[in-house]
Amino acid sequence: MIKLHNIEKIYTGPTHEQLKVLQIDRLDIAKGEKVALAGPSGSGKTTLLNIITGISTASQGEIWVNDEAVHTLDERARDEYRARTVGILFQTFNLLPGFTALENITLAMSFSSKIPPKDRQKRAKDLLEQLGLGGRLHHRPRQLSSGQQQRVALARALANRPALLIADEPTASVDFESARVIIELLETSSRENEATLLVASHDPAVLNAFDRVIQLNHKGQMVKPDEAGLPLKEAKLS
Amino acid sequence: MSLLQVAFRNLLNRAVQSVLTIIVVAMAVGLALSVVLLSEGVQNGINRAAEPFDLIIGGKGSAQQLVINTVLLQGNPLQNVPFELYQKLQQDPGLTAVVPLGYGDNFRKHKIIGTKSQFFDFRNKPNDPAYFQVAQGRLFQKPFEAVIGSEAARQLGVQLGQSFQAEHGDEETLPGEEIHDEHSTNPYTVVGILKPTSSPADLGVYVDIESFWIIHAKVLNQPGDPTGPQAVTAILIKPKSFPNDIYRVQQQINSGRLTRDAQAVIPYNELYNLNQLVGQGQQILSFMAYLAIAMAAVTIFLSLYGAIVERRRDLAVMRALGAGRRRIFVLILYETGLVALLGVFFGAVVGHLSAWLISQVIRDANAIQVIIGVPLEEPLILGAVLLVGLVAGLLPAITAYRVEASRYLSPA
Repeated sequence: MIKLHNIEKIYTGPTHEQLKVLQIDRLDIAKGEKVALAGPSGSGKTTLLNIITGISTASQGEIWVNDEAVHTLDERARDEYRARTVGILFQTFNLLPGFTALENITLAMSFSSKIPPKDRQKRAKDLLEQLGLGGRLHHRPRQLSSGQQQRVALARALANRPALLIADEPTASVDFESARVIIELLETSSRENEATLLVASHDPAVLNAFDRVIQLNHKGQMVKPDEAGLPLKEAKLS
Repeated sequence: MSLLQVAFRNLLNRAVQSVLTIIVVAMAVGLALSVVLLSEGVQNGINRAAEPFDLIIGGKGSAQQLVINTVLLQGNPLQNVPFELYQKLQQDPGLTAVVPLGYGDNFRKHKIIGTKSQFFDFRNKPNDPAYFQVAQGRLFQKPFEAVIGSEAARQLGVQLGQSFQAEHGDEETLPGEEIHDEHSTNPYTVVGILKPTSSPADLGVYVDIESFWIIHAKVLNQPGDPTGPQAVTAILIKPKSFPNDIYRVQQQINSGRLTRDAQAVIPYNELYNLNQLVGQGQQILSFMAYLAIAMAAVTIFLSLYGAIVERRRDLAVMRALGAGRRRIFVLILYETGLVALLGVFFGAVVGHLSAWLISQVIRDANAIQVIIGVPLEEPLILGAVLLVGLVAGLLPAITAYRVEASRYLSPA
């Protein structure tokens, strides 16, 4: 499903110094696998997700998603790939405040031709109903609770039946119980939609729920979990 | 959701900003359009007022004043023309009609025009119907019978058979003031009301010029007073051969061969000059209108640019969801286009409405029918504003186009 090979991301600083923030020699994630991406702040989790989603590009290396060579795509093709293949759940939900729950979802569908226009409204309604928001279709984000907003954002991420569901720190701004619900929802949704799930988090409680944890250190390199000093074992027990 | 729906929703989401911008655009368009509509309408109205009259002969002085007084019924008349000239012209075999005009009295501020019944036989072209037509009653047949212009009848509330007393000069008699002269002892009777001509002639009160001569036979006039025994303020002529006889008579009079105390002017030419003067004022107003359009463009730019800066995160989200840069660019242009389109639409409404309202004021004051049409400039102005609006939206659209999703997606 996802294959990364010799990925590097290098930023040029204000004094033209080269700053390598990510270096991954090899990473394979199988179809339908539920993988967590762990690491401290600044370890390159978001950078890696952005490279996989095509939001930004790697300085070098190859990225294959669903047998599609993402590293060879130009920006326009990456936009299409993202709309077609990837569903993204942001940390702060990032719902568009001027649009209703239903519109936030149909808008995401309009960026891809995957769901025919005549089916979009129904699919959006179905998704919201599945997530318990059947009575909140026409509510705007500010009229919804934090948990409800999170579910709308999840529905939006699933709107185009993505092969890859990505979540960046989905539990960073919620309490423990809400975090548990979100992870459950992500797991269930990815299973029902046969999507591969990749979640970035530095929350040990979240990492516990995944098949595999990919650990990044502060240099953006993959390391074994125990080398990163994370209390992974304890987290799994909680 | 289509991109157009998204653009419309984005405008609704910042309704106050959008409405204010649309109002500014509408006002600018309305101003520009009303200037064009009114200036063209007034010019058409003025030209139309002079249509039936080929040549006006009047006293020495300003040619424009002569036309303005005779055709537009505004201002003071010039000195009288010699009665002998009137008599000489009557003998001219090249003229089918020589119609005297006498001014100097009024009926509640409406000019009383002494003339002959041939006056009502003028027409724009030989085969056209008569320019003046009776709507009610009949034309005057003897002194002290009056025929009222349609607008004068409306404003004065005059009915057929009603009598009225003329007042000397241009000012009406003040309340309580009494007139004890020939004016008061010779009242007029309304025998006819004319159909509207959509010209200042509708404001006039028409009587047999003999009535003037009877009333003023005993009046001692001040020098320059257009009234008096056998006084003729102006003469209209109808040629047998157009335009040869017009130019011949004009040349005879202006060269001083018939008299040294008169001038002959072609009203169309004088009104053309007048319109040129009006045109200069119009140019200044047009300049101000274009300035207003430029300000509207700046308003569109500021409003949209501010909105883009505020919405960078939303745009980044859309980019992350798969919206291409081009789609974002087009979305912002749609938003600009909608603002400009709505501004242009309401501006066109405001322009036509205000031009119509002002034309009513002009009509009531001067009876000049401001003919409001759809001038050639109108689609040009509206199209230009749309284009200017879109250009004003280009920079915000480019700014939106350049939004990097990865930069604005992180939590604030």
